[in-house]
Amino acid sequence: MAKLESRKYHIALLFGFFFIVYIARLFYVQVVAKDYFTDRAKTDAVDKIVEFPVRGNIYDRNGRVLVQNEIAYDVMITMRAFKADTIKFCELLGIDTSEFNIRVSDIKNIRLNRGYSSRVPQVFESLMKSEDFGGIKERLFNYKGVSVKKRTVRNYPRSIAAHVLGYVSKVSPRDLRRDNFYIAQDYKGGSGLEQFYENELRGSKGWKYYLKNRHGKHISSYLEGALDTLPKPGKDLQTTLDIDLQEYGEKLMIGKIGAIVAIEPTSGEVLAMINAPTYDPNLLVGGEYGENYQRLAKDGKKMLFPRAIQSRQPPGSIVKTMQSLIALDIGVANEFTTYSCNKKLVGCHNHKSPLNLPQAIQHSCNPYYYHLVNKIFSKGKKSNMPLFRKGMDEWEKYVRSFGFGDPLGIDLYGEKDGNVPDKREYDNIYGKNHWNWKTIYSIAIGQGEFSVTPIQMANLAASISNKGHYFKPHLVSSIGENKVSFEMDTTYRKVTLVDSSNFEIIHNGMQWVLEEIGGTAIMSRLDSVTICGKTGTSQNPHGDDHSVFMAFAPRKNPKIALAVFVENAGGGGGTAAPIASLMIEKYLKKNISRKILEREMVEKVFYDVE
Amino acid sequence: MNVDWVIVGIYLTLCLIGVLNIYAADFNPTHSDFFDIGHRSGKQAMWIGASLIIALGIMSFDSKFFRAMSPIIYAGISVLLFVVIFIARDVKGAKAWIDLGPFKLQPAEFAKFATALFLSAYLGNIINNKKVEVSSIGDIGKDWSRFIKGKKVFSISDTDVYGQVFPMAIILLPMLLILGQDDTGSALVFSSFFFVFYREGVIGRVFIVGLLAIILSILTLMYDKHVAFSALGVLTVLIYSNFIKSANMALANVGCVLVFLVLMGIFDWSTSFNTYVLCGWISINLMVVVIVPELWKRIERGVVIGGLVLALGYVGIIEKAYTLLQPHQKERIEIILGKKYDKTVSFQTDQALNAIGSGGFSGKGYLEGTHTKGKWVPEQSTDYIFCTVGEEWGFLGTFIVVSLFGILIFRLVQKAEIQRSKMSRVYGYSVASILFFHLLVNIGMTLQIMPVIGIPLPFMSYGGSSLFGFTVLLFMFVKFDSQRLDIL
Repeated sequence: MAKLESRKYHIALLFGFFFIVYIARLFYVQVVAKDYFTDRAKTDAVDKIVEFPVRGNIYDRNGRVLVQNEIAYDVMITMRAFKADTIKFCELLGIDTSEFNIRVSDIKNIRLNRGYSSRVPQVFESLMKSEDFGGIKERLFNYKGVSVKKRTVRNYPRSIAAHVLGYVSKVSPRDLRRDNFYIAQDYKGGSGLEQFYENELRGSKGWKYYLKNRHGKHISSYLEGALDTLPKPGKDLQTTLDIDLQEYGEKLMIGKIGAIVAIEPTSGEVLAMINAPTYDPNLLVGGEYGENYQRLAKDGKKMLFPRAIQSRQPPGSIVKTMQSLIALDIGVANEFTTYSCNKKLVGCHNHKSPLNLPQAIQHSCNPYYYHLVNKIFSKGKKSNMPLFRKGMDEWEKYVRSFGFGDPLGIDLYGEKDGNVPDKREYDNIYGKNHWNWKTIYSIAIGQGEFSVTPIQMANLAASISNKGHYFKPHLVSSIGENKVSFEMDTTYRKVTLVDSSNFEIIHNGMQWVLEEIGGTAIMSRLDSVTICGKTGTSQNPHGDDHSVFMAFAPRKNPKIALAVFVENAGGGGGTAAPIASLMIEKYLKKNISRKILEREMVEKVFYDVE
Repeated sequence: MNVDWVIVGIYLTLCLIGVLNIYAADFNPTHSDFFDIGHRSGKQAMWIGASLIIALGIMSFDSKFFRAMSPIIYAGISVLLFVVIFIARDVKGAKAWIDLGPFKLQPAEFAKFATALFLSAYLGNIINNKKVEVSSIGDIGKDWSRFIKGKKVFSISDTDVYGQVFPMAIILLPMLLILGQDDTGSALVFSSFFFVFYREGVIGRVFIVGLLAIILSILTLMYDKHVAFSALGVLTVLIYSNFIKSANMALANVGCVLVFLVLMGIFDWSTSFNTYVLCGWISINLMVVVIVPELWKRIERGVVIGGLVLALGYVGIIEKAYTLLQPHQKERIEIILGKKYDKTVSFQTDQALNAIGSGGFSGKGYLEGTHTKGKWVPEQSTDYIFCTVGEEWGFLGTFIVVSLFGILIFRLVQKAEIQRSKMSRVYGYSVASILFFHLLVNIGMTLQIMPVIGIPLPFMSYGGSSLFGFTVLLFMFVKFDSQRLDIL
């Protein structure tokens, strides 16, 4: 009996043991590991719902709208509640039943659509434009389980400057990994200013926290909304573009392949940047983005290619202005240095001969520059390779000081550098010292290995108009309320190595290009404004030469410097120069006096325009 | 009347905590009337009221009446349990409920007190260690009639059929009938009577060998037969060697393994780590036996070798039997052992643990539980009511609830021990054991240290049958206890 009685202690011990174990486990779960379980509970029971901010607008230099937002609609379906005659529903949205089935299976695919719940609305048709939505709104709401979410999409009232403004596209998985600002339904700037100023334009999202139940249905706000935030709209951008000039430039470039870049020389502000061919930016908006993007990308004319900053081409004769300046500055020539036009050295057209320096610019004489640049390199001494190489180094420094060979630093992604040939490059091509002036002379007239972008051409015009300095070209002047300040930017104002006293001679030559008999762009003369310009013909081994022209105006206190580049359009005087001249008139005089020239230019096409 | 107000007080407190948490678990902000009969809290409040009337009713009878009635109650409930199998509709996989129009009755809840009552009445009439010849069936009939009159008739030694097998049969009958209803959880509750048997003289050896068999089965199925073999070798050696002089040492060793198994439950240790620690522990045991000469000498080699051979055979049989099981049965076992993942069950238990864990030290506040409001834990007002306490009242709340149960159970054990009649003592232990088992399994399941077995938390879970059953169970003892001084 006594033995049995002692068993009450065994039982009490066992009971006590388990009570202690349970209290310990509770202490572990609720006190020690509290944060872990709180986290898990929160991920399960709290829903974070995004409120998208409105993207910043983009304006031109006078405050006119380039890009704004308009309301679009996401049509959402709650799978569990959705009841509809599929065929009629598809008809309403303009899709066929197989498309319907694909979309539904994509929605239900947990891999594609993480966190899918049949009780939570899912996007079925995204970013429907208001005009399409308005017509079906009433009938759409008759279906059970269909709801609509308001979003905004970009809208371009003037349908211009597509490449500069860029488009907005769905974020990629890579964006999601790189920047935790984005969520799967986000859109971000995919090119142009939209991309470069993404952080300023996008604003910040608002978040609303909801308590949800096991089925994903929201039951109330979380913590009475204490954590909720409102979306902050993105900042507006004021660009330096002139909407009228941009539009006019695009009109002039219809049917042509090429680019126009116009810069205000005194500030570096880009007044117009035309890429041709261009497209209506409204095509790459909302639900139609995917299809239209594919079409544009596949087009043989490279519709999406921003030629103004990425097309690398030999500059042609426009660099003769710079070669002259270098020769003057290092003292191997003066205004009266004269050479005769010896076509045995290098081809040229017929003009009077011999010529002095400004006349050489006026007539764009190739043999003249054969001599002149040779003299820059060799300093007049024959067959002295070390001296020649040293001369070439010096020349290269001068050329780079004009902004060639490196991107200028415009506020767009993807700007190309171009190429300034140097001795190393020729050593690599021909073997060390196995080359001489006769091998490389084409760089004197801007051909061969020399390549530049259209914006660098425009920048050359700006540097010459400023008599030896330029400002970094840029497109945005203020972000939100704040003006973009360049005070701290040491790369903003750049000085060329050429002394300003040498420029008047060149300005003379450039004025004669348009105003003196025999000038290469005499047809493009404008009576009311003194234009200084220089034609160029960029040799193209694959087809017709490219037509190049750079200019600035007026000669005193220049307001605009620009370059026009038209592919396969022949000599610079025929196509590029008149276009440049019309652009200058448009900008400085607002009205075009030369209607015939204008029509001729607009109607000049190099491919079939739809 | 000599009523134990501590037990009654704890009972009322737990009922109140229960109904408050049922209100929270079933909370609907648009219809927030607490006593609305359409709500579970309203119904539960009504049932608490009815329970109090039942309790008063029990207190107004004499305990002798219950003893006399115990075979009839037991027989009646058994018939009911049997009938339920055929008339009940399938609810959540079990055929355990009789539809009585406005509410459903679950006879299994009442089988607990009926079995406890009959078992204690039966054991209460055995006079230990005095052998009486039972010659014919007619004698048994005579004995029964005297038994009903409350006279001590059975005086049979513990090796006899009446002493060992018949009590076992009293437990097994309702257990099997409830298993027949596919209500495994309620059936398992009856295994808690083994505490009572242990206290009343079931041979310790049987108990320990039984425990060992369970541990071996788990080791074989969970890890590997080799782990089971090693554990087996050492444990057999220790148990048999120590059994002669000191059962406590053997118990301590088994206890250590148990502690370890429980600890890994508490801290979610990884499985491979467990295996290493377990093997280490076994090796240390083996070394101690070999190195310490007294231990080695004390071993009865014949018993050891015999035991080992038997146990090895047992492990082999378990392993073989397991391969013969149907795939879904295997899966069920693997899920219980934690080897496999049942999506719906693990969702439920994960959410339960999230709810409790996120409550933290002081809880999120009454009616503020995000998991509770979001109905994340299925069955939260019934089997998972403890989650509501955990989330909204935090560690403070769960500590108080577990402590109240602890005090209640220890109070029952203590009171059982001071009873003058054997019947009251057996009944007291039965109540304590049943409550303990419910607590262990129900709370253990929400804390992921027990397999998921759906049984309610006494006095707190929503449900009339369960509340009535526990009320009768508890107040029957309160009644016995109040009359303990009447017995000489």
